[in-house]
Amino acid sequence: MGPMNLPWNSWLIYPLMVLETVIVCVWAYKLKQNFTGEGDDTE
Amino acid sequence: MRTLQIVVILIYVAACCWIANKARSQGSTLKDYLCPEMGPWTIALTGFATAFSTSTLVVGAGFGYQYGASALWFAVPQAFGLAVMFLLFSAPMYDMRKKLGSLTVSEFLGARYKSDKIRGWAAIILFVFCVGNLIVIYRSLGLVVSQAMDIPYWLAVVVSGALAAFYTFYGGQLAVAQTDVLQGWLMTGGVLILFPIALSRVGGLSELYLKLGEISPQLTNTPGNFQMGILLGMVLVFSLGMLGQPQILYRTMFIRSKKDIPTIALVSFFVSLVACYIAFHCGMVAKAILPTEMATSDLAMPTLIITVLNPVFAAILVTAMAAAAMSTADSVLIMASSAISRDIYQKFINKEATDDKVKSLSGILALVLGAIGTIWALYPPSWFLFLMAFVWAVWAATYMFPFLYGLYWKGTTTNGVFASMILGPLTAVIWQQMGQPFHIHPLFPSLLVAGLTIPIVSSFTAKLPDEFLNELFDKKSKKMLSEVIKG
Repeated sequence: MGPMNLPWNSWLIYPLMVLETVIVCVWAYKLKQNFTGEGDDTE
Repeated sequence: MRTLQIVVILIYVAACCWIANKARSQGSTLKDYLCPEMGPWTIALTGFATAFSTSTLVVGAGFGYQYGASALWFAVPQAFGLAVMFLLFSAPMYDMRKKLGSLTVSEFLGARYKSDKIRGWAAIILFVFCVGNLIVIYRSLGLVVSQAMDIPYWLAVVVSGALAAFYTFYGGQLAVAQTDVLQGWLMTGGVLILFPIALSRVGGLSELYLKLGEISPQLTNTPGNFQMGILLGMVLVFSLGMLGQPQILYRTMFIRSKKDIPTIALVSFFVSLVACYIAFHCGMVAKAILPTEMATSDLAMPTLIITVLNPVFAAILVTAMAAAAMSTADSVLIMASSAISRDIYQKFINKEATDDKVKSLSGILALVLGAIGTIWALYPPSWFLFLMAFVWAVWAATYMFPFLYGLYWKGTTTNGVFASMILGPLTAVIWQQMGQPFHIHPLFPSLLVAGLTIPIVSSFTAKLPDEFLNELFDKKSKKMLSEVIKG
């Protein structure tokens, strides 16, 4: 049994959640860098 | 309780009408009506509200109720899929749709591949499954709201259906998006209010898991009642499927600046993640504290609401559930009506139709489709359950790869895409009819077929003109390609 009365196998969702969060944040950061300096593209 | 519920719902109805009226005054052209540009928070929240809606508040909580901790594996990947969709498609979509001047998903595909048959086929698939989708949404809404408010099922369906159809007709896409923002906040705020109150009844997370484990060890174990392979497969289904849903892809066409894309992706991801995570946990709390077994797991959320909340919060939460369903219904309504008015009527039936006429027709069709959806939700036809069993797979197999290849690969040919748009959904239908062999969801074979068909057929069929492709993929060029398309 893991912490908070939850078996260890049910804690596996949290590394997945962290991994997905990291992927989204890094990807968004890279895009932000790409678009910086492109000028104002709004009409 | 009843008076409070009516007051809260009347405030909500008034807010939706006010938003529709404001949206109508913000633009009068067909572009404003079908494909207006919006800020990052509006797009992120309309994406969230459209993608999750009842699937989070009602079905998601039902999954938590039925499957316990392992149900969270369905929640997290959906939020990821939505963010990846924005990150992957938005930037090239922004460049191309400006050059192509497209206002609908089908029109974009037709213009990208210079093909009327692709546009027509995309519109037909969209329309047929939109109508089926609408029936499912209204049925779910009617069931939940009638249970929570103790009113007849027909009354819940008719009132909600009429409201969504009205503001879609009156304010167009902008009204849909802005009401989605309200509905998105209502959904998220609702579960944020409900969860701590409900959890305090159990005594905290630790006690919740302890009680669930006492009811059945499968409720706290992973994969619990699933096989591990099926659970991981569903993670992929929920992540990948999100990339091909047209009502969500449509949101990438509203972006006003590429600089908004990181904000859109991050806001949609975190709001979805929090709302899903909490809603699924609400289902688990319902399992732990409600004394009797629900007739259907979809009733877990409404029953939990009326059990643990005081009348004011309960009325807000019931409204949030109705709002959740309406946020998807309105998106479906405007997509289906624009598919007929813009992509079928103006393109094939009456090429001389003015934009004003198409705009009026879109509005009227939204009302008509809303009425049809409402009536069929009251008296469901037998064929719609068959359609809806694999709509997720059919839409993903139809739209994901034509967009993905079309936005990133110059070598994609018209015939390659058309073959993919036929064979992909056909595979989903056949796989479903065969009873899902090896317990594999139709999404996998249909995506495999759709994804491989494009490069294979494109390798031996005629390419699009270089002049057109070079201009389309030139990020610095702002030239409209309408003349090149006609040529």
